[in-house]
Amino acid sequence: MYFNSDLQAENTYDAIVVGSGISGGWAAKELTEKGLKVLVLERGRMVKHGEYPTAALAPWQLPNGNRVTREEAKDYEKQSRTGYTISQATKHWFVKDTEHPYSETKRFDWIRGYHVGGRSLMWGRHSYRHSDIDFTANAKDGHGTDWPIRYKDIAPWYDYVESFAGISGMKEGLEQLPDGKFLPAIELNCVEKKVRESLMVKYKGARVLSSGRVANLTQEHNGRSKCQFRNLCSRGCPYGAYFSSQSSTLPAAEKTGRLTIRPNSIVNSVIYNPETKKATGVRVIDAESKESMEFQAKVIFLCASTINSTWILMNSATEIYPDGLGSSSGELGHNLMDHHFRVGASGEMPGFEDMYYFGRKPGGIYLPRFRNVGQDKQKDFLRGYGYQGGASRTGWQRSVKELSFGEDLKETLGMPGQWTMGLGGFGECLPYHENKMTLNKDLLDKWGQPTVTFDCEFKENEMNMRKDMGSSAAEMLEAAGAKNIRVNMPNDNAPGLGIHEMGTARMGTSPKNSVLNAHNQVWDCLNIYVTDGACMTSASCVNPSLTYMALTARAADHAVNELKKMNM
Amino acid sequence: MDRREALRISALLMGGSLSAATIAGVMNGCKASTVPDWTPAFVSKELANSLAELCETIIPAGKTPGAKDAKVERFIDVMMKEVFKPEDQETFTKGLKQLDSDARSKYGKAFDKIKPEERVEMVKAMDDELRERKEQPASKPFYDLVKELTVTGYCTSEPGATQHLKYVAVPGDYKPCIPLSEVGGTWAI
Repeated sequence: MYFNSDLQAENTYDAIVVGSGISGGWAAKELTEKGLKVLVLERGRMVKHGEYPTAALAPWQLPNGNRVTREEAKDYEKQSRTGYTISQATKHWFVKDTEHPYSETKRFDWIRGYHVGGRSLMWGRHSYRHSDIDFTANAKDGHGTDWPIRYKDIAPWYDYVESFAGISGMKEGLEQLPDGKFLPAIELNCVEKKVRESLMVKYKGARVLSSGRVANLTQEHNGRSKCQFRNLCSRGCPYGAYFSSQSSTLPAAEKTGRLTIRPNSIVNSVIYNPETKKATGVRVIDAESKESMEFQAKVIFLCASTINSTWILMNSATEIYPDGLGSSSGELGHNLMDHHFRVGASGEMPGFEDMYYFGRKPGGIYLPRFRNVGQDKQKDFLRGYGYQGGASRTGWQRSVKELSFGEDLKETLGMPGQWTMGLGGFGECLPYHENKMTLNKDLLDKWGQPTVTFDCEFKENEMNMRKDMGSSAAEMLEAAGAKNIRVNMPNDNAPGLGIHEMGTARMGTSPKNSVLNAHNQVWDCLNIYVTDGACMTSASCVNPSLTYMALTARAADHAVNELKKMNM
Repeated sequence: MDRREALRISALLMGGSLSAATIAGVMNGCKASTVPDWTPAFVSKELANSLAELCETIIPAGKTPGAKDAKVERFIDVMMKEVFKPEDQETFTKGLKQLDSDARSKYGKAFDKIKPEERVEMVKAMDDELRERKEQPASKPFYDLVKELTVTGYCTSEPGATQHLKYVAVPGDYKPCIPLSEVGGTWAI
């Protein structure tokens, strides 16, 4: 067996973490702090904290008015579908579709960032807890399979990760959106406060417009600076004022002296030993030299992002598991979910003409779910949605149709326009078995590996919910006194665009109905943990990253206890 | 020194105290190599001054800088060359030529050589058409392109953002509700 003991020793760790984004960073921190020697494998390039080339640039320092050139745009055909990701300020955080192709049986917008830190560098930072309404949803309405955990299982881990990450927010005492360990909230502005008060009166406390709970520091926290209110987060924060792997988890892991990060390391597959039913390590392709190599460990954390963690399992097929490691339930690659959004309303808010604000806040409002909660019962759709949005005064970006020219134009531009308030919904998508990803062996990437094909769509429940998301937003704005209300309800919202892709290796109560158990272990191979979005059994309607953090910390604790008990 | 690197270091070292003026200083210090005689990359050399005067008519200098001070014509030239689609490029090139020949047939001189009040009269006709138009044509007309790019170019330029609008690079704090008079104008971003 030990044909090359030197190399074996050199490439052997206690734990391997695949991926360095939000989940991988947490796995690295927790496992190293609990005494393990950890190797983090990141498929993309190294980015060290502070290496954010556009972070301090003013508008006039960005070429081409911050827009990419026609030539540059050719590389980002799919990544630019969001409309905001591919700019001069942020394009270097997103993959080139020309280098990382995928296929779509139905349209799926797969937005990726391959570099150390992953999408923790450009995430939206809204951080909400799932409630028991979420954890019991599948069991109650029969869609998908039951979560193997309940709120009480994860609540202490939410406390734990919030305390480290630093989440600012307001406590509201809502059943559907449990409160957490918050730093002071970013205050609502005067129009948002007025809307909050109007809704409190009109809906008797059932609809609560709160400050967004965001991973931006409103005071110094664990040695990190507070937010400077530049609102340039997605370029990378030189102040470390929002949670990212670079600002938070990786420095903590490094401090232990037990962390090794290897960038440009594409994990091709897991090495599985059918005799012990355990994984012994991973096969890696060096992204630059294309050289193949192997690394060994007692425990493996797949945190490569929803689609890529499942891709690794699928690409780890053996004779026993021809559809991939963890495929025995038939659920691997299935139950793909995302939030549907881009539907809502906006309107003009009369009054407050003599009021303005100072600083640019990095997160707006959050209006938690009120559908199918408490006394509310909808007949046209199951589950619910929440809103993000906010109030601001229009600036110089008004339509040129409304503007004059000459001195008149300058005068108009020089003073802010009226207040407007917008509400944009984020809705839950049911877990459908037939919404899936598969390996495409006809289209190989430049390392000779199969690529991904998506076959996923929103269905009737989501479409019915969207109608309500638009009309309820308009109704609330009207109740708050808005004028000229416009409902926005595009029909071309494909999954993926929410960049909240979830499922494909869901947790469940038995090896027959799921890929992972209650501790995020692969049922078929217990020393592999999958703790990123792939593990999600249902989508809730809240932004999911905080839940990945909590599940990862919880799984790391479990793994270390199992190692101590010699169960691995 | 590379300007991006300079700014990055400034921001890291100076933390919240980095002001717009400081950034401007850093920028100007490193921009010494800028060629004073501009050679357009997209617009023909003969029409470059007409474009500049058109932008200046839309946003004239007064108490604060105008479009020419902000070099908006250079911004539009680069945007047309690098960013805009071929059909917009064609509309733009044709429209600028048309404007110039209209000036010649009406006032006997190129657009940049006619009197400022004559330029205002010509721009007013185009602006009235834009604002009174009921239905938006499938592709953007020439004047729509120029007006949008002039406003964007001006408001994202250093003179426009820092002298006509209000710009603070690193606010350091957030005040959600303050009297407008304390700010005194529109935030650039």
